[in-house]
Amino acid sequence: MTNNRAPATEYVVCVDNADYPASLELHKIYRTLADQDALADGDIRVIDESGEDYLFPASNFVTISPPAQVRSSLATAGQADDSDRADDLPVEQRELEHLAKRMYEEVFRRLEDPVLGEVVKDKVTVMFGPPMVRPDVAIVSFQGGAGDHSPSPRKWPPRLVYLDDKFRFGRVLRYQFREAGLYETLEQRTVAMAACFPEAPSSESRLWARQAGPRAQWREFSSCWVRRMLRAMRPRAVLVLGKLASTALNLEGGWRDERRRESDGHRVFGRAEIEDCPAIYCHHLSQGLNGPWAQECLAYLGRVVRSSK
Amino acid sequence: MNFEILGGISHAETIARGTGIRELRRLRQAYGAGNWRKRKGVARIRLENGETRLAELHWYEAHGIGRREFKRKRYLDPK
Repeated sequence: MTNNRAPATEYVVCVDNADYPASLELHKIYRTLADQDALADGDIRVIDESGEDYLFPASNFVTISPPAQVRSSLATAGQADDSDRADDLPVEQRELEHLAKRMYEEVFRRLEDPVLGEVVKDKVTVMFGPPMVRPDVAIVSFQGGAGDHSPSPRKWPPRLVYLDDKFRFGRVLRYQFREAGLYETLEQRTVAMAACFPEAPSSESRLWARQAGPRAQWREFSSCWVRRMLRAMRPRAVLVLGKLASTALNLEGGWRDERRRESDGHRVFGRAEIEDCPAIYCHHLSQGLNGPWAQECLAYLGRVVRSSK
Repeated sequence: MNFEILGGISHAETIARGTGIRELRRLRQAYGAGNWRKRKGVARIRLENGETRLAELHWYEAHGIGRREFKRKRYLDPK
């Protein structure tokens, strides 16, 4: 039992990790904690790769008695391990989150501005999920329809809200990604941002896309931050959904290998670069425009992501 | 694994996920990429010597991969 632990530390070498390849490394020295009950059961309490102590079969280890100098060195290494535990996020991720907090703070300052705040009638979507170091895909659409219900400089959605059933856009996006064999990518390695943070009904989206004044200021402010976050996150591919997003990001005129729908001339595919990341144009999916060309875009997206790994 | 889980696991909860899991790289190397979570729960287990104990278990879990590496943290019943 853990209550019987004594402060004495012993060292063991792992000689069998077959059942625990992630928790134990073969031939590595581990520290143990005294646990008389465990010994009576044929077990041993070992501090494994997680930094926590667990009961393992004693037969998986051989006790060693290292010389004093080695023992001292191992004890120091153990202390270093413990200090690492307090800070388990990679540095890059911490920096990224710090940057995202600054972005949120600036958004809130703007919302308090009488002129800029006046035009924001709906929610504000800054990010549709948490920032991520080197995600596979960054999706950029023009304006959010899902919403960040409680945006805060210290908090952002813990997961991609595009995956939530409540939102039509999410369902279509999920379906298309699943069909393209990219659902795991969407679920785990995708970030999403709006090119214009304030939300608005789709009937007003063109107003937000074209009008000068405070709406244009929001647009420029948002797209600058999107580019900045893309530079920081370095996604393997950026999926630009729709012409309004493309315009806001100043990508219009820069698309190569464009394909257009015969019936109305709408662009359905294009490729470009944004902040040194490959960008793929796809028609916006939320207005029922989610035909086979969406699959072609996502198939290309999948190839770009895989080729960069 | 030198013990057998009898019945279901109760009070299961996630204690870490993603980069919050210190051994995430090792998990990916051993079992593949996934949305890894570290979980804990309580279950009755049977040891190799035939004894049954109530134990707090920790394990790793990812969608599409399943539960991996059940570890005993402590026993919750008196011996």
